[in-house]
Amino acid sequence: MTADRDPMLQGLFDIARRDPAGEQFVARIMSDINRRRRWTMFARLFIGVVLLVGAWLVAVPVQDAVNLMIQILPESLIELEHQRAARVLAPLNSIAGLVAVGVLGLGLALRKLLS
Amino acid sequence: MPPGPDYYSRSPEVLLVGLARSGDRKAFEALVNRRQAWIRNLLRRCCGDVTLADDLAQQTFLQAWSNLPRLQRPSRFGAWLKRVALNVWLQQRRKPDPLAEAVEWSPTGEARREPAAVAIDLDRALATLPEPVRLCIVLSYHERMTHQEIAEFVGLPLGTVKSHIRRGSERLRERLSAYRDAPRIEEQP
Repeated sequence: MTADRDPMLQGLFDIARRDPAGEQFVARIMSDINRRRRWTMFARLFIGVVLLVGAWLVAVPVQDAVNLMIQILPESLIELEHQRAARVLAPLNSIAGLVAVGVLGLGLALRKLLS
Repeated sequence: MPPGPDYYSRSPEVLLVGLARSGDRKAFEALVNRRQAWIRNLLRRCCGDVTLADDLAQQTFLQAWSNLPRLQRPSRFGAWLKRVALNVWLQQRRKPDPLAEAVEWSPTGEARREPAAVAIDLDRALATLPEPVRLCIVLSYHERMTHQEIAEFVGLPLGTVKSHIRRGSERLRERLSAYRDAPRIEEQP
């Protein structure tokens, strides 16, 4: 559908349409864009450094915890005198085995609850 | 080997948009160069204040740079940019409108068809219109959009758009009646 426009008003709009000098305007915009880009890079660098420092700070305690787990997980729950039986039942008769059974049981229980 | 200085100024807009989307700032600068006059004129007609219009135009291009990766069809860059500009103006509109408290408009004096004088009088006359009417008038006369296109663009019923344009045109004719009889002067290039 065409739009009927007043010729006088259209003429005035056309006359008023000027070509403003754009060099300064464009330079201002590009300066803003470059500044934002620098800030973004700085922010990413800062976050990266914070993450590295955080990882370095927690590395030793995490490693100690892992070492402790490695030591206690194979510990037997019940001392068995018969060596062969002790070896056969070692996977179950250990803290690791207890943890594994516990995780499996929890998983089954959750599956039943959610189904 | 980097492109020569004429590469961007000679490239079609679709190519520039594609390059700018991938982060090419030179390509975006070329786009700004090409579109800045249009956007600034559009916003000047909308808000009637040259300084404010340039600030809004600056915000428009900064938002365009940030959101350019979301533009799915580079061939629709012009229409998309116009949408960004008008959204920026509409957000500005939600702030208290200083023009609402402006002194009652009166003609500057003898009407001469010099671009600068016409622009001032036109902007003053537009400022007396309610904002929805002003927007419809600008889209009709400045952007030469049809009533249907305006209705789809601003999300108003077609009848409302026609009514806005009719009332706005009547008021503008009244305010700018001095130009009806003003001698024509060759437009400055």
